[in-house]
Amino acid sequence: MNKNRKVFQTEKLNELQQQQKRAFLIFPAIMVVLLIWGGPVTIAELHKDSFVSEMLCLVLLLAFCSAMIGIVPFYMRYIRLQGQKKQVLENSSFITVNNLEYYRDKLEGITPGAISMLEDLHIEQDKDLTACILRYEMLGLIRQTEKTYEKINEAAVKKLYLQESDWYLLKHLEKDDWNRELVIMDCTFLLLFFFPVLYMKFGQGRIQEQSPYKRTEKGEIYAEYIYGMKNFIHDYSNLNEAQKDALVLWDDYLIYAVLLEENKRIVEDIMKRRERI
Amino acid sequence: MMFLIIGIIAAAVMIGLFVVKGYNGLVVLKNRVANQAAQIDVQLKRRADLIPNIVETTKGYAHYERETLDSVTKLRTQILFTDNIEASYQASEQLGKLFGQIIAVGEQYPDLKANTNFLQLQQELSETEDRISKARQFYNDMATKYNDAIMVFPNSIIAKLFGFHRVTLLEIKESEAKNVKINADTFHI
Repeated sequence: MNKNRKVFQTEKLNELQQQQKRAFLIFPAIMVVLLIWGGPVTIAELHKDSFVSEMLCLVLLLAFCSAMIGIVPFYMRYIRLQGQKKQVLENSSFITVNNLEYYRDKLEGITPGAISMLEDLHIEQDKDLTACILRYEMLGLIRQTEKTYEKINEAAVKKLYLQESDWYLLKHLEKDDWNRELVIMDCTFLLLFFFPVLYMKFGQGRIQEQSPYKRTEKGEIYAEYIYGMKNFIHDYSNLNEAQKDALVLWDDYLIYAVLLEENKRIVEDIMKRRERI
Repeated sequence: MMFLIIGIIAAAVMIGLFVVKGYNGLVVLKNRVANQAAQIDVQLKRRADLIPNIVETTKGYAHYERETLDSVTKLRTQILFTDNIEASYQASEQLGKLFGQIIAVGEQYPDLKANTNFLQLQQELSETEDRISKARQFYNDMATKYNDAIMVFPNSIIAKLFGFHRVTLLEIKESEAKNVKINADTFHI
């Protein structure tokens, strides 16, 4: 059997790839600063007879100086991001057996938390909690009230085979004491220019640390189906634009869209609501 | 003069690349619409395949009019052997109604209601109905994406040049937009 690896294109991975591209902007940024700093004086000194060639030399000189000044911070940032990307890639990649590109059926026998874990071996509180809330609403276990969520079908709750994590969440949703992780804006990028050594030690925060978990053989198989589902939702639907009301029409697929980072709107709505309460 | 020629060539190359990119994008979307339409057809045929089993299971208990059974056979053949998705879809709509009648009649017989085979087929039928409904929703989403893509500028020019036409959306039945009911036995996510 042909076994190769596939990678979930997660939001974290996209973010890191974007940051790596942006790291190249260090050079033009330095060029602009140099140009503003000494440009007008130098241009005034150029001879009119050979203006074009002298201007060209000036640009080349600027490029060279920018490269010299920027190479160390660029390299340090790039290497740092590369290390993080490697970690994210390691967490988000799985072995594919069937080379499945799309999977259209519902993912039977697997909870939202497990789907999220199998995607990148991490739980992301906001989206995973949102997905759980949607799922409980879909199953008719809870109902959104003005202030919180209430259990509406005790009998169904008892009859369903819920996992420990489900009971935990149900309890806390009812008590209304679930809370969000604090997100601290990362400004350590500035350290790069002034204290590069400190940046290497503390900078940029750890976007994703090494997960203590590993996919089992069964987990790898599920991961492939989840990967297929993510691609399917991405390529074949407009679920990224769907709102919470669409749950009655899309049921499980809307939950997958939230879990697999294909719909941020609902996560934001539910989390904003939480902030308002 | 030379700069002008180079400029014209560069512009032509840019336009060419842009047309190729736009055309390829539209082809991908068009193929996805066709693929999703085929998925609906697969599910309709799957439902049609369930019919002989259901009729066979219920026949021993309930009595149906000859006309009903003939219509079922005719519609099933139409679904299984037609290449026209629209015709297959219409036949399937009618068959769905007949199916409902057969199940409703069957449910009046307690012995049949307790029959494991009947219950299993009923469950399978319900799952297939759900799949058909979802396949249609995905088709509509895909068709909307495609229709949007061929209407926005500058893709609209490429669409006109290469004959990409709008596709019709399928109507979602009212019953498909109903509230999801709690069913503890079908807990599956």
